[in-house]
Amino acid sequence: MRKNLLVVLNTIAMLGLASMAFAADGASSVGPMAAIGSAIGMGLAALGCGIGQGIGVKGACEGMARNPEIGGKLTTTLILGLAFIESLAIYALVVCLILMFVKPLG
Amino acid sequence: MREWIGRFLARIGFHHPEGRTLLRDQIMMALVTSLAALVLSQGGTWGVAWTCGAALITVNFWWMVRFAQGLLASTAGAVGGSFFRFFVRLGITGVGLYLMIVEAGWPVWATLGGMSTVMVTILVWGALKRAGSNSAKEA
Repeated sequence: MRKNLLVVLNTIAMLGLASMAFAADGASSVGPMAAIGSAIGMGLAALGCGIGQGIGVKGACEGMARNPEIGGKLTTTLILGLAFIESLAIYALVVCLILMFVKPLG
Repeated sequence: MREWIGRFLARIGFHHPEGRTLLRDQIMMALVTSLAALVLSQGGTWGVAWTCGAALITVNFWWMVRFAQGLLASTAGAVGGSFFRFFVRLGITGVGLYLMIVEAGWPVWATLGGMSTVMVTILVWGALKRAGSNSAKEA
């Protein structure tokens, strides 16, 4: 576990430093830290969104299996839940795009 | 107009009544706010960005309502198609956002404002429904 963590952290550090070195020549259009931050941020957003949607759909399916007559109400709740959860991931995507391409921090 | 949209949605397969109502209200909200944005901006960039954001999230919501109503009623054979459509929808949303924010360089706040219309629709719909149920209990 510790070894894997060290490998991952070293890889991230090496990629970041290499990109910074190339950035001095103006070769990179997306900053290395912005790219790493965006990747981590989008990954976390997708992770949370996936877990949330999975729990929501699981609950809806279980409720439907126990009481099929309530399926209509469950569908409405499911739609609302999915919309709210997914909007968070979409907002995260917007933030990542801003970080990578609009570059508000320079 | 609302009744016409509702009938149209029912005809093309939105058989879940509350999902259809939500989608109809979202279409109305997107149309009204986009028209207001276009008029206020006099056809300027932020009005177009708002309109495109609202259109993108309405298409997204459309597919999500279809996905949700199909998910709880589908047989095993339909699940593959549903998941394929789910990821195509996500891809289109991502590409649309990239084109609007990066390629076109439109104002992000206007795009996000247009995309937030779906949140406003759901919150208004929930508040109205809650108010209705409370008054029914009191009566």
